[in-house]
Amino acid sequence: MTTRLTAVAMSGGVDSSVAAALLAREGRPLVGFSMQLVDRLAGEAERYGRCCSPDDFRDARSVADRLGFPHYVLDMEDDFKRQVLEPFAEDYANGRTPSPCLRCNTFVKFDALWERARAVGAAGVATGHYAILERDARTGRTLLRAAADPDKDQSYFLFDLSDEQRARAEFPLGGMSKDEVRELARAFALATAEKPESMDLCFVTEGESYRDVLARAGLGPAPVAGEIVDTEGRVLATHAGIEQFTVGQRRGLGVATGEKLYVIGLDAGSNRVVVGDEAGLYRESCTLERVRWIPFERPGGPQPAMVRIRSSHAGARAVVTDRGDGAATVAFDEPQRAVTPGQAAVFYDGDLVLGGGWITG
Amino acid sequence: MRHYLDHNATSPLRHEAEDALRAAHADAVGNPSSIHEEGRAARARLDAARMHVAALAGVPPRDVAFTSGGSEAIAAAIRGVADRAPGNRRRLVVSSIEHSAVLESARALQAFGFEVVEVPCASTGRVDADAFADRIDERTALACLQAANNETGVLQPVAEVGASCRASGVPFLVDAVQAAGKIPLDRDAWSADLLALSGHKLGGPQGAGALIVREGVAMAPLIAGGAQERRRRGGTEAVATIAGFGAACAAALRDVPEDAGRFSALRERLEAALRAMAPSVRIHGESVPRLPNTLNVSFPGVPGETLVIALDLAGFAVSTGSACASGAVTPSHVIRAMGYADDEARGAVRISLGWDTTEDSIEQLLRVLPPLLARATMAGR
Repeated sequence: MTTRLTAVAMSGGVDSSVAAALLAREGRPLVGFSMQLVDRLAGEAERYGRCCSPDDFRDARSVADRLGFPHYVLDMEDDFKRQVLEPFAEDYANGRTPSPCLRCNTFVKFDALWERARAVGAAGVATGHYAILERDARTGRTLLRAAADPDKDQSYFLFDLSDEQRARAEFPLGGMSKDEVRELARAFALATAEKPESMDLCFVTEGESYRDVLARAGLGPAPVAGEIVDTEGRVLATHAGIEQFTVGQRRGLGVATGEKLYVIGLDAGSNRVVVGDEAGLYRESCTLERVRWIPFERPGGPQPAMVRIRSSHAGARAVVTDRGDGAATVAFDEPQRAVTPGQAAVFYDGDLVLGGGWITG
Repeated sequence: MRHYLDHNATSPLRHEAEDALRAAHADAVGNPSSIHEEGRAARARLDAARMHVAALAGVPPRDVAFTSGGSEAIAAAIRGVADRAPGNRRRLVVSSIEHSAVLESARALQAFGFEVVEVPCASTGRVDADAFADRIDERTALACLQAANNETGVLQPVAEVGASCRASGVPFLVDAVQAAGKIPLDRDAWSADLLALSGHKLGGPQGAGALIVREGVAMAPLIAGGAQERRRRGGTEAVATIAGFGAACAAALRDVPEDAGRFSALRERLEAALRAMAPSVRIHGESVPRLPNTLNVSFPGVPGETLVIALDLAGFAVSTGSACASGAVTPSHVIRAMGYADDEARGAVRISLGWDTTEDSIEQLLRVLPPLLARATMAGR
């Protein structure tokens, strides 16, 4: 084999289809994989998540057929349950707001799937993610940059890949806009060219909530009722389970007061939901755990950066201080709204991703 | 260059079947139920095919009812016999390692008041005939046992179980889909009342099979609506496809004695080489008689899915025990029924030889396997 085999993770959507087509156009040897993540959990034939339904497998298969490389469906339900669904349930039960897509990238697509691909001879994994990878000749590290199209950028969801994982990953769409990708899909006459985009959690079927999925999977302890308190500790109401709340939430509190109240904190220890006015949502700093730096092992000192505290956050100027034990503190120039434990804080210098960590408080 | 070693899934079309298909398609084929010349020509093709199928099964041609395939033959037998069973017979006895066509057809009848008894299989891969016989009684509507297992190739005690059924007056269905064309079929020795056959497993086209029904077995048709197939299966017969099926049966009958010896020798060569290559290899069903063409192995630490994909990429078609609707590999119910854990059941890989298998394919397979196994084993750690 002159060029080494590349595995393409194919969801059956337009992005991974075009990524595959771009590589195939270069004459690269490819093998396509689709991951079956929730079929068995779904319990009955008619219920499938949007992203792993038989229709999507058929679409992925037809694209691979058209492009002339083999395609396989892999049963990855056990990996997905262990690495994504269980921590997802656990986060909610512990008063955190989970980030399943990030974990799916780190532990499923670029780990479990990679292991299966490597076992059959693949040298790398390509996906339809919008982000840019670039080798730093000086350090030998693989840098991660935001995608050219800011609306499509998915670098936030990829910060937690290890250097090894980044080195063997490939994102053919990183430099393209969504329109260009659609255009290419049509030009390649791919069956997926006109498919709508999937926006929500891929494992949750339309018309149900993530709680239904967890319940079917037998995950998540039974909700425990507790108190809703204000910042002074006064009990305002009761709640049916802490996992039903997220920081910044306004609706469904069941508290009748004159002022607008928001969830400003979740205390798993006392099973309390803390509510307050909007001002109470703002934080000047936060702490992080499991911090990862990308262009270097660790910064020399406090690191100025633009920090995004959730995927939809544009970023705020801040200084990140690595404490050396995997933890870090982030001091924002301006107080930030709804800093949410369980979400990732990702650090940027322009389009370069410096690193990130998981918000603890 | 591809090497096709998955004959138990489907066997490539034999040349004889291809010729028969082409000839039947080339003629203006009439409806075999029509009385005109074109109809009579179609009927003649059907009759010829029926003779070939009957010869392979060792039964009179009138006992052969054509179906769309093995699964339909099985469904027709199970549903049809259950439908006409006396009211006090509401039990179906099957082995736990039957093909899903049998297991699911039987389980579907639970909704109609039937009890399904699944007889377990020993760790050898063989169902215990006495255990099967113990579960048959005057409440049993139908018993079903495969002649040979599709995944391991293990031959099942159909003669012993058939004798017990006969003694208890219980109709006995033998799923001979995998056995046909690989070992001689013997309806009388098996005391079988019904035999299910599939065309494409023995080199015929996909889309034809047969249910062989002993005279006097009470059975409702699965598909009503016509007098075809002696009212056992309504609908116009797929004449050309059936002609191909018949030709494949004739060729299989001719080749069985010689092929059996050839397959055995190739498989022995394969097994010896695999043992030398990977001393920890497990050969499922090795301690009992098996079909000569079938080899089911697992290499500890290597998922079957990995090996099947790696071999496919290297040009070899083999298979894992079973796949779900999406095509993803699921643990084999047969290997599990033999008492192995899920990991082992996920590790099982089936290599099945057939009429077009050459020694060269086996040698090539043995050449590519060591590096594939080494890589897969490393990744599995």
